[in-house]
Amino acid sequence: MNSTIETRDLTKRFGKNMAVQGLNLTVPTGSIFAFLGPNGAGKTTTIKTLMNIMEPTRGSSMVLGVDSKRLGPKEFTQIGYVSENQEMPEWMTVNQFLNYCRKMYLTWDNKFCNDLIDQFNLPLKQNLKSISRGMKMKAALVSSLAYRPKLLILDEPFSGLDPLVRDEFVSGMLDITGGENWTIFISSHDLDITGGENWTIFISSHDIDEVERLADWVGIIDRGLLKVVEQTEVLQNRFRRVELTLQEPIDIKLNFPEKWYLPKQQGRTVHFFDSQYETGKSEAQICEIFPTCSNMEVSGMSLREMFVVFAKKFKISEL
Amino acid sequence: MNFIPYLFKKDLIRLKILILAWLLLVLAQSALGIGGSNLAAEFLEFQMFLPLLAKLISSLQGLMIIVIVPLIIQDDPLAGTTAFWFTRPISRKGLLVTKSCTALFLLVIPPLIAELFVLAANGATAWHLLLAAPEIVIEKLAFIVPFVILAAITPRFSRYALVGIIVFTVLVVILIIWSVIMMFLPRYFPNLAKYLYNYDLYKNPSLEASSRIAKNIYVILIGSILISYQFLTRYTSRTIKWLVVAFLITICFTRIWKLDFLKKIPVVKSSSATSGSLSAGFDTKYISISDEPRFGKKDVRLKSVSARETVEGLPFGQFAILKEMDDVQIKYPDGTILKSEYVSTYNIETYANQQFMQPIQAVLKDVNLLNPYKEDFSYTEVFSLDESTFHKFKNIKGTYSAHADFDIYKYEIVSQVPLKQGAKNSFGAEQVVIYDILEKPDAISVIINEKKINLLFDRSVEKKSRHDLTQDIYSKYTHVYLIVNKKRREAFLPEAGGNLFADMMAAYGPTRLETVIKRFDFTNLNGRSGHLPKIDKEWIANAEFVRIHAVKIGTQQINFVVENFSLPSQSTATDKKSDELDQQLKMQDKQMKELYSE
Repeated sequence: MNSTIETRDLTKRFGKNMAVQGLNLTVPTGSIFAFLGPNGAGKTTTIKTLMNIMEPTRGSSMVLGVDSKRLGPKEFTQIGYVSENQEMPEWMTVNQFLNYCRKMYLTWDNKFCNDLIDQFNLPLKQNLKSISRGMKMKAALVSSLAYRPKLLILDEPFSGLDPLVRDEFVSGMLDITGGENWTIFISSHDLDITGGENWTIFISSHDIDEVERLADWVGIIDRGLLKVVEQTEVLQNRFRRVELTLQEPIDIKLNFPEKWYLPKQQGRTVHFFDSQYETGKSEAQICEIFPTCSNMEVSGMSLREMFVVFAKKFKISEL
Repeated sequence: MNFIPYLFKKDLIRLKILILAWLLLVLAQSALGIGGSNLAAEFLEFQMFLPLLAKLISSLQGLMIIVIVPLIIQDDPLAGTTAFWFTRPISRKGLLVTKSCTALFLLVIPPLIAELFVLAANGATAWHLLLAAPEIVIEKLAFIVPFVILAAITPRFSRYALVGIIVFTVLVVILIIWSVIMMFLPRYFPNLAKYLYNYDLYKNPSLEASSRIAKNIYVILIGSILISYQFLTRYTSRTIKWLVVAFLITICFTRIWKLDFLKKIPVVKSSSATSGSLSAGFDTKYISISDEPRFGKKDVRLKSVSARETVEGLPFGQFAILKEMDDVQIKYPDGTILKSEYVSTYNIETYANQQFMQPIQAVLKDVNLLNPYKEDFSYTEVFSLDESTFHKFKNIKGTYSAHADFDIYKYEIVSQVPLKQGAKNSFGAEQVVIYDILEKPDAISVIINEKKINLLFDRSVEKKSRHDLTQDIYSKYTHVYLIVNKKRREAFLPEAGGNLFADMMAAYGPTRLETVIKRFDFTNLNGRSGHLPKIDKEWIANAEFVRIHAVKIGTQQINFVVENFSLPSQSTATDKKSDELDQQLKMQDKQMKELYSE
């Protein structure tokens, strides 16, 4: 598997605060990677380290096959970066801004750029400082897509955007990237982009299954530690919600495997989440542990439901 | 891909209004430097107004630099983690080159060209311009570099301004504390004070200038290294650490610097130097006693004894100026030796003293100086002591002695032009232009525009101390103007004390171009000479306006010895001195009235 991003023991410390701890991460080429975590989890620090904006305290990372500490102008012609807190030359008009960026890239596609401008309805004559935050993010996205980068990094691109703008932004992005073999690395603390119930709203023609296909890799980080990194499909295949009805109540703390998350008992009913589900094998194990099981219901889970489980299991706050 | 022109263009577009304002200021300053002195000569009101305007423009320029520098640097900031260019294909090296070029092109080149143009318009030669260029560049860069560093380590203007104000305040507080310490330290810990402070810089303006140039070059070099380091690495905290170290070294610079590489090349004519057969003393008829305060010691006043020193044995045409005195003491017959405290030899010597008349006549040769000054007004401090000791020893006779260093001078003619409006002459780094000649009954007034180019790298010129805040309003003995009619073999000295002036040097600070308007009144009616020929049209028609310079021809160490000297209980020349002062004040009052009636 070719990787576009690869980190080894990546660590970043600010004084006593460990922002990122020993991060080992591989983002395969051509994947759409959702990097999730609550505020202050270390997502932005990780990205800034990857982008050579910050130097890691320890460890290393490779981006497009180059040590991130050596990322320079040549590599940045192949990387698109949009961040919620990126400072833009706000004194420029949108047109001046795009022209200014155009001169930086030999691969700049004018036609593609114009299509994007039309698609996002960008007000070319207005100054960046006078347009809305949503428009500004769209302008930043156009300036980061028009040269067809190999890697697109979006750091909290939807933060602060109202739902309508968010929908436009994401649907536009999906349309644009649909036919391209790009690696997209999305960092967000907002579940809506990958599995939220609002997803169906902002992508009107897609249902939740399509959304889950969009982010084909998911990583969850909390307090600088990477909790989960897995393909979305694999994750969905191995996670099941299990509900058992027992003939008589038992103490569920006894002999309960670690892979079964968040067990809960209500009378003769037991709930838990199986994180290593295998058809047949898992059912056999359940019957072995709960011999008095009279009824067993095993159901699949959405990404959002899985994140809730992770949040509770790993005590991840504000996910 | 070379992205430098695009970045440069982007900065120009963004700062176009500020750049326009900046260039207008540079132009205004140039216009003032070229035409300001003539305006000042034409209109009395401008004589006060133009220097202020020049100062204002100069200050505004400084302010503009302080504002423009961060706007250039921080449009693509180096500090912080949110700059747009961090993730774009812009090389750090390219950005460094672009920003350096922008700062140079906008903030250094225009004022450099403007000032060279002004210097050329004021009589500077190609050689002067060649010497001026590096001086201007060093001065401008040394001013700009600290602000570039500050802009490079702060992410935005508000932070730049805040940090700048904090740093400025801290520096001022440190300076105040240091000044207070240095005020009291010499009294209680003189050796430590000597160690901490380089007193040589006060005594020697060229050493002070050398240390300043060296410090500026150091600031530029170290600053450039730090700026480059910050641009290439963006390790802001490390840059700040190195900056603190570099700043501490800068503070030590004036303390440790000893190499006087800007020292004036001596023009001493050793062949004509005097022999060692000189003797010095002072006229005991003119001794002045005055009280001097001692800060913090009100009860122990200092008694300062001043006298007119005399030097005997000088060849015709030479005169001596007291430079330094040490080992000053009075030895009494009972063996008691009274040593003087610090003796200041600082004195504003005007040419209107009898001691300069013979040297002036010597340079005029067969032309007669018709209105020589016949009195000596100068007093030099010869002894200082505590009030109580003074009372203990007053009126007791003893032998006064001191070791004294004298500089020996003679006059030389450096410029002579026809006494006509518009006549001008350049000599060395100076230029004199006769702006106007006002004819009056029994007198004429010559208004001149005196220009002097003071370049630090011009080693033929004596450096002026930055600590010397006195302006050239006194008629110093160092250069004297006369009107000379060679046909009639007659010469007049101007009346002392009536020179008007408009100090245009403020336009470029006291270092490079001094442009002063002066008025000299010549009259055949004065209290010290008898019947003199009229200075009328006929006399003027064949006259020249001559400038003579005191040229140092040697240094002599002479032992001052005055036998039977006693400290008088009161000044022996008080009455006479007040009469002289009274006369001088009346003369000034008359001239002011005359001036405003015009």
